[in-house]
Amino acid sequence: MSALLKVEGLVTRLRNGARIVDDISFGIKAGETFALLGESGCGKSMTALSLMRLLPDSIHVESGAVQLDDADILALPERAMREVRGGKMAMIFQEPGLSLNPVMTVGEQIAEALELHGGRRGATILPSPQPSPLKGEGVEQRCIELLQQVGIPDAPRRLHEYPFQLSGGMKQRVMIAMALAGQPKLLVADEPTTALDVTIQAQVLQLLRDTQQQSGMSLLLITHDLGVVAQMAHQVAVMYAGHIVERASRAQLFSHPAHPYTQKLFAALPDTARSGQPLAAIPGNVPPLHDIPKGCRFAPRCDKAWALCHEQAPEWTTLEQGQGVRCHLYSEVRREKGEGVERGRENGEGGRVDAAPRFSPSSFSLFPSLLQVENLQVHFPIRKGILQRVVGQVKAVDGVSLEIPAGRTLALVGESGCGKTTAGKALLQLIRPTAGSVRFAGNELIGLNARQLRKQRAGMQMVFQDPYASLNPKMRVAEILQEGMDALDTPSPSGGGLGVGEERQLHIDELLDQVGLAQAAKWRYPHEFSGGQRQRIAIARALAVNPKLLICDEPTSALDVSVQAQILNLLKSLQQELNLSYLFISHNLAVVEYLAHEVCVMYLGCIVERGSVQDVLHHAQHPYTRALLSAVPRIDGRGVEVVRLPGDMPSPANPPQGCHFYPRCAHAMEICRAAYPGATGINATHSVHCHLYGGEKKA
Amino acid sequence: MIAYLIRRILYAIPILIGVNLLTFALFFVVNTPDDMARMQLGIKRVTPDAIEKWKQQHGYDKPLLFNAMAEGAGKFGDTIFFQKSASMFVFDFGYSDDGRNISREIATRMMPSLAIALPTFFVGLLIYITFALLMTLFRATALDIAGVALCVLLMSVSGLFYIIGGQFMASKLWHWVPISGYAGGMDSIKFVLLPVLIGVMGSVGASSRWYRTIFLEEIGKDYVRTARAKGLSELRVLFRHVLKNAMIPILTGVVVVIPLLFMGSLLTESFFGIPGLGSYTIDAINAQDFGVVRAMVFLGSVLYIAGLILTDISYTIVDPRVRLQ
Amino acid sequence: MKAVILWTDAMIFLLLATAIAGTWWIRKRPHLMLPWQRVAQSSVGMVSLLVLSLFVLVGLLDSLHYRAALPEKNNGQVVYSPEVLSAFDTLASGLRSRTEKTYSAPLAACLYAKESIETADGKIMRDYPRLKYGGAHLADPQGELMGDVVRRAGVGAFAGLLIAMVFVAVAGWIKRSVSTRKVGGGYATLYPPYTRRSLLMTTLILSILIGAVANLAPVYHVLGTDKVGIDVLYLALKSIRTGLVIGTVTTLVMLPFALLLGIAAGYLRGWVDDVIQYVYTVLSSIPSVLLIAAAVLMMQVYIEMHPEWFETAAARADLRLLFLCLILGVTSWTGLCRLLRGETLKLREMEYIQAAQAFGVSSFRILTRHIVPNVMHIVLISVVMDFSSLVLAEAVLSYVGVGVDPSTMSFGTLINAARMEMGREPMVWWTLAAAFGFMLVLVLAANLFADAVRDAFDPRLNRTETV
Repeated sequence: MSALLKVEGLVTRLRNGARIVDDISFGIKAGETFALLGESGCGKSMTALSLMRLLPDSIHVESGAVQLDDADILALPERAMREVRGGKMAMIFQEPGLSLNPVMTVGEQIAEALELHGGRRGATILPSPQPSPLKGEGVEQRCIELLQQVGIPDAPRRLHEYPFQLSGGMKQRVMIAMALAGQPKLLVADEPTTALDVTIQAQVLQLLRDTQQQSGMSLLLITHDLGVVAQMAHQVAVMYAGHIVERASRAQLFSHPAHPYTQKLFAALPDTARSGQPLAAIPGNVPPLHDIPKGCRFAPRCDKAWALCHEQAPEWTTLEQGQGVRCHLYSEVRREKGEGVERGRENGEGGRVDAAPRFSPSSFSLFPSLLQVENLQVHFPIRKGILQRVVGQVKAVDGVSLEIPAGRTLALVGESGCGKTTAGKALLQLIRPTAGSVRFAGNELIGLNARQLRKQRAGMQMVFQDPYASLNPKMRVAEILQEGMDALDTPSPSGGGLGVGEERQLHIDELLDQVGLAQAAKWRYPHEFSGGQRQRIAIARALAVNPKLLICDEPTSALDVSVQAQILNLLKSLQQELNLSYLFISHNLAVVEYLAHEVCVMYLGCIVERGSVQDVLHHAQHPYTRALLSAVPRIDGRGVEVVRLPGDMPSPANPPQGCHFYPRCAHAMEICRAAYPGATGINATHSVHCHLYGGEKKA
Repeated sequence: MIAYLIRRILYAIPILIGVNLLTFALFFVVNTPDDMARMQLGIKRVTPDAIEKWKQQHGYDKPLLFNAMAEGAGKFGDTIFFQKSASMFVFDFGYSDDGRNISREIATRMMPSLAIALPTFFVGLLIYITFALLMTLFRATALDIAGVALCVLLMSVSGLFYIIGGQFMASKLWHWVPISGYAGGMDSIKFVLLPVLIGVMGSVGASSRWYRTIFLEEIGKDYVRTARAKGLSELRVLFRHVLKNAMIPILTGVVVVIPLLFMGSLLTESFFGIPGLGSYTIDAINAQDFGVVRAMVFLGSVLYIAGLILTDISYTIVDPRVRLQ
Repeated sequence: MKAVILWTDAMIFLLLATAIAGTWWIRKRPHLMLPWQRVAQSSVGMVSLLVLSLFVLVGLLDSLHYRAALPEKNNGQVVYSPEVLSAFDTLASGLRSRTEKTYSAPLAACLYAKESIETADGKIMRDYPRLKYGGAHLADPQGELMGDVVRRAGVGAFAGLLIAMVFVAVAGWIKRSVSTRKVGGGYATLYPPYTRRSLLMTTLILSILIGAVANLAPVYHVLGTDKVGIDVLYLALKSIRTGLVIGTVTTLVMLPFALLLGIAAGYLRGWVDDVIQYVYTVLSSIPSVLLIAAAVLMMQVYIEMHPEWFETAAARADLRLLFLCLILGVTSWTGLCRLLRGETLKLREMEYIQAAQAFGVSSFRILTRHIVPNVMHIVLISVVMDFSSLVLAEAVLSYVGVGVDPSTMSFGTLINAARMEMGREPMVWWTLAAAFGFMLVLVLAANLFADAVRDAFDPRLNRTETV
């Protein structure tokens, strides 16, 4: 079967010369899903935009050929290209919230695509002299059909709604409906689920699979997520710094990754099987576009690189069964010596094994408690009317209780909007809680004034989600690290005969060492660092005041997989070294599994299930936890039973009566509608809020 | 929506009181009622009696802000400030120093002001947006660069130059239209033509460039890429998607001006001898007629606040996300 | 001779000192240098800066005021002339003192209108009288004027070109010797070649122009004379200072208020925000022209009531100028304040501010260390963008009669005086042309420079570089 899309030697570059996409070739067959896998900045989105000829003004395609159905895409005049866009080849984007026109109704936006492309292929069934663009009734009918096809309930009403009235998942469904309007042969999906929560991601991926089966279109899926690739792709190409470094079928790639980079990517993923061991992080960062290494682009970060790799860029080498790789390990020179392939394989496995001690999970209650939170509530008033009276409360956090012993990690897990970040900030008193009790090392924090609170601040610090927003761009690293010490007058651990200033400088050097940065970094500004390095600085800043508890708010969600592994390893070793406690806020269950000792699952401001990692992630009881677990795409394809959650999380301003989860729960009973379930103990450390287990004794 | 409007209108009251206090202070800090009386009666032959009489006639014989002599509410009520301000809230502006009813004067002068301001506003808007759309359509080409350069040049030229130059060219060299003056009815067109043209010309540079910036900002957004990915032509993207979204920032700057059109343009009207509210204000300032200036300041503030409220309402029309709460 | 420091002089010196201190501060901080380096790379920006700096030079020279000692003494005490002069006046004393009787056209040798002249033999005839100074060295103006003007302009232009080339060569030699010592040559990267080329071209063209004018000015009125015979070139050059003062001092006056209140409102919120919002809504709801007009008229009355406060007429006019700056500052204050409030509202939700709060850092320190540095680009952009509109506003206000003192030379007063003569036959056009021409060059340069600064500093416009 010949390829539907053929890309040969595509080169796309910035006006000032940097090559963003460099000599890329691949083909996609009809009905096939082709995944383009890579970390941020590797050029995968620019490849997609090059195919659509939608590149920003400052970027242009320099050379190469793109064939879609025998049409030479790059040579088409603009008018003909408009026929292709949305007709033969449609595209959906990462941010459904920004990608829909906010001031046009859903129907209008779909109709636009229908008017341009909808009538054409309909004409093959009912030949008419003029392929009439759909108008009026026909268009509306077709829009409703499309919305129903992508699984939007109550489609006739949704047609007249605006994007802001829809949830993120719904918006992405609308985007898909819009793309399907032209009955494209190829759908380009640029990180279609990255901005969505896992349960919604599962819904959207399922939808993409279903549509593909029905219509037989091809799918070019661009993603950074190996799990998504494992679920969706037939063929995979791995991109690194503008190159495709490996291309293979999914089965081949997952069983025998050839390129050292691919191997490393697998090894860097946190996973249950290795929850005790440090992750095989890839050292360093993706090279910046204007400073690409002369030889192999991955050589500076590759532990198998030798002299040749630094001098000469490797050629494309084809292995058995159509697998291809761009690596000297497999080039002719090496193969003659008979060691290339073997060595690659063997090391691919070897990268995973590491002689680090396994942390043994032990019972929680043995440890003295450092932080005790009881019935924490954070409500935000809703004001309305002439006098702005309070008419309701957004119950962002509604009665959360938890306990963290010294030296342990508690993970707070939940989807966006469940209140986990608000809870973290309320613990630090960055947001004043409405009610409840927060006792840190025996001292009650709620109700303290600013001066009393300052005394307690040193014990508890926070690491924020976005390393680009959490460092002041106008301050040097040394100033950033010193700020907390100055404000809290932190005694320096090194101590002894030095002035305060010098002591602080020494402490800063120590901190930088601790987080794995060079001491010279302290004279530099944040913009000179990459995301991972910035997160290290942010960790050093928190450590500067010798805290006992770190609240980590999704510290790795803005980072690439390879860098995420570095930060997770760092957090883990710091915990052992300094006996730190962590409150680890995350939506990523794999990360939680790797790092945490105990897990609390939050849904709509309340904790629905708590217990040790083993309990919650392997013997989950609450239907929500189960759904959450089964929604995570696994790279080994090993799924727990498939639980798909319908619908979206309700608004915390107006939570459902009774159990908050019942409208989405497959096991909902009469009683769920009526009353919020109390805690039920499953075992000594494991409890759940669910009526399914209500019959047993209440804890 | 209704609740929102009521709240906004209630909020306007303290602002208007503040505006009044400010104008009041500005006049009376340096210029006591005695000075005013002297000024009005002529510096030369003025007796203390005459001053007292003038003050009594014009209602300036009370304390300025606080009446210690009066009882209860009168402490604030029986003062010049209260007496002169309270009636303004029902748009009774009293009499000017030359004895005319200010409210009636405003009513008659409003028409000529509008006759200039409305066409200037709408013709201007049309031209600026068209020009800006053209530049956006041809962005990053020589045409765009030349357009921007022209805009910068035009906005660097003093507005006085347009007025003086325009008056000179049109009236002296070409004898098209009268230099200045005004007449009612159909005759007004020939008097209005030149001021409108010059008014539009005066801000073509700055405005077109501003709109271009807005359009360019919109065109960089993700939904525009989606629209292009559908296969829409550049023109349709511009008109159906960009223009609609750009209305939000455009309205922010434009709607607030609409009510102020009633105030006329001080400059244009005094240059072209148009008997509108702008020239009325200028004359009053030169004559130091406190009553008129205060009335105009009050009117201006009321219209400005009306403009702000109108802006908010206009958002609900172009942006479905906005709900007035 | 006694140095006189007028209020606006003090303001200008303060501004100059701030600028110098700021430059020194920025030079040591690479991340602050970065946007300025982007400005330096824009050839339009650098050319307009060059032109602007010429204006600034004239303005600064015109701000060094003094009163000359009079020859006669009063009981051994030195008596000073009531006339306040500036360093610029001394440099251009020729221009200042060579006043004619009335109007004369640019580069003319005769007055503009015929007058009755009594000839040597006692006859009265109507003719264009010769000027006292303009072209006085010519025996036969009608025949020689053209040739003399061209010759003098040519010589001057050539001299200017020569001086400029020597200057450029010396500068180039110094730079080369500096950059060979510094490995890598820190300066070479500052300007790309095309910027250097356009800077060089502009320098040469300006030198030719200045050379020609400088050689013509001693014997001609290059831009003619006005109604009372004062050289228009002198008037236009004197107007520059007024324009610069209005454009810069106004900002200086309003900046502290806007910065302090805007940030306080955005960061502290609550009742502080309510009060500040109330104040600026009140101020911005009064039409600004009305507010300015009312305030200026009130101040005029006030000054007239206290003539005893002022030693010299210059001091009086200066106070009025300062007051105009103040009131313009008050009216333009609200826009920046609102902008800063909005930005601070955004910034206070940034995670690095929350990190500082988690350390218990005081509000004052958060404001000064985290928020102020991160809103400075907005302040800078709005300052440079406001400059040109303020210069234009001065002309309009002076023209309407609520601007500067009529005795202060400014573009507005120049235009005001010249407009009366538009109706004359034949028309007196040169005063207007000079005023508009100078203003156009100043405002255009300021606008172009402001654009370059905005492009370099606005984070939203620098997106393409980070792709």
